[in-house]
Amino acid sequence: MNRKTSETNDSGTAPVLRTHNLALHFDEGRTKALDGVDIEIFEGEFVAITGPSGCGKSSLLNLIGTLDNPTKGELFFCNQPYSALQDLSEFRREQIGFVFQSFHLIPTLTTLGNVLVPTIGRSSDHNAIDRASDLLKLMGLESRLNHFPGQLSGGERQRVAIARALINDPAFILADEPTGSLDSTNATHVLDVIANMRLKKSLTIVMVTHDPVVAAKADREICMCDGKVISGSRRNP
Amino acid sequence: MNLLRFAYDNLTRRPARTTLTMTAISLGIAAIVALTAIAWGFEASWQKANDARGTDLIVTRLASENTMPSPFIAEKVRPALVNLPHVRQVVGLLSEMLTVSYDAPPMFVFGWEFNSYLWEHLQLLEGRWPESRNEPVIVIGTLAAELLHKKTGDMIEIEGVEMPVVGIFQSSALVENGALILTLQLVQQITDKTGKVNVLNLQLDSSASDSDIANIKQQVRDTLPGYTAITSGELVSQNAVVRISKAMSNATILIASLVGALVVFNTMLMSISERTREIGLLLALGWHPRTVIKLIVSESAMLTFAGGIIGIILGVLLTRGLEHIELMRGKIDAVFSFPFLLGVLALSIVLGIFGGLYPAIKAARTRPSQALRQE
Repeated sequence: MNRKTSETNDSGTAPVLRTHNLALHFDEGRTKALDGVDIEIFEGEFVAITGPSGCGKSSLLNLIGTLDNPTKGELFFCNQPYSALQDLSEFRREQIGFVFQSFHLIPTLTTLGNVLVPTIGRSSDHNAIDRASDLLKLMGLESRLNHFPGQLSGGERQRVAIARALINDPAFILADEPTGSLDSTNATHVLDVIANMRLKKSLTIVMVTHDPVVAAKADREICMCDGKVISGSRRNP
Repeated sequence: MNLLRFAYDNLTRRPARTTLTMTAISLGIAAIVALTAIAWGFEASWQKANDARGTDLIVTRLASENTMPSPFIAEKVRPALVNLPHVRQVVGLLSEMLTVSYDAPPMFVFGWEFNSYLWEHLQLLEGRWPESRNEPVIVIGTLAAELLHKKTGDMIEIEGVEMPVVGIFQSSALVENGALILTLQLVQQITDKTGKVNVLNLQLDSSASDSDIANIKQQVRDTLPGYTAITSGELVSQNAVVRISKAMSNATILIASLVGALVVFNTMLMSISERTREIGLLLALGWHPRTVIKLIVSESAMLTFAGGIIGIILGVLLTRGLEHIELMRGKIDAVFSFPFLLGVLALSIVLGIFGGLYPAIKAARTRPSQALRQE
């Protein structure tokens, strides 16, 4: 799917991602993880989704990342509804890079192997190793290519995870508490890496965090509470 | 990094479980290889013996399915056979499995008509052949000599009758090398089966064609009710022991396959259950569910392929070992054909694919969001 937009907003650029009346209910509607969420995210934006624990931040991120299906409402990518996507796996592989709080690296694979995981099974991808090596170099991990996750620090592991998220040159990075397991020094370093990558690769970044210091690094903060967006749903003109 | 390498790495993550599963598979495959090779070898060995003798057709009781065809009075049948077209010789044979020494396993004792063509294929290594139909002497195969620790001039007692060994021979058929051969009349006397034979061997002249053989078979059926003329291959394949050993080998293939598939199924189910979060991650990273299925099935097929290779080696070694134990020597001559071993290897891979398919489909249906939340 082409990430270029066709619809424009008031300020002249179009939201690359938009949700309309998005809801995610569990227990036959008794638990409302998300309830009528309308947000817009623009190409190249760095958006932080904040709010207290259990407010629906990660649920929203999962819906944006197609890891869950909404109970109600619709998401739009470049103005095309998610429900019209033919192949969600392909969409995730081509357009989305995930970064998780607990890194989710595969312990038996080397740093290079972990970065290459999203490319496994794609016989047509011939220069994946070169791309992975370049990304790890950008992350300052060129001397760690053959190290296993157990031999890396928390900050290094998260940088490996970021490289893995970038291997297929996605439109979005969806980061769920990417600094949540790191000390402040490593957290700052990882945020710098994310910010740097955003500039180098014109990425749109959606980051879930409960840390106001981390959220302050973003262009915009979408605050949530009890499954609803309470502020920042749209970019200021 | 490719899918197969990733699958291999996943297997090596749990070396104990992988080894145990591989061991279970290899034992099943070894049992299949050993039993099938023995069953086929048993059949091939008897057929080889019959073929080596130069017998074209064997006349025996109809539906005779014992270890050896049940005995009948030869002279009731012989006159009708000697006058059939193309029949050169009609030769009686009586065979028994007897204990001839307390420190040796039971052995085949063959009674062959004196001076008949049956003796011609044997190679005399030392001593001489019997000189008359009633001479109370024995010739023994090389393997029988070894098992009984006998040489020319030694005495052997069969059913209370002591006779000297006058010759040691070698045959191309293992079953004959492990046997004792006397004249037909002597065996009939010793076993109280005067005038009886298990089979009458028909040697045809060289001009007999397949249609002539079919014609003879038909004439035997028409003129000798209760008797049948069959080729040595047909006789062996109808033999009860051959049929039982083949049935056992088929049953072993079935049971080992089922157990193998269940072992793989269980292992892969455990494996994906432990790796739920990782599978969720792969799906989140854009893996297609089909790729997840390929990964899990590749793992299970690799597991059974390795188990198959080890099992084949084990099976061959086991069978060779069995051939050399005292009780079995001279009775089994296992046959390992390359297509058979290739078939066993293919079977092991198929087991892996089937055993891994359900766990793979289950893994592919994992909801990434739930899997990633799992601790």
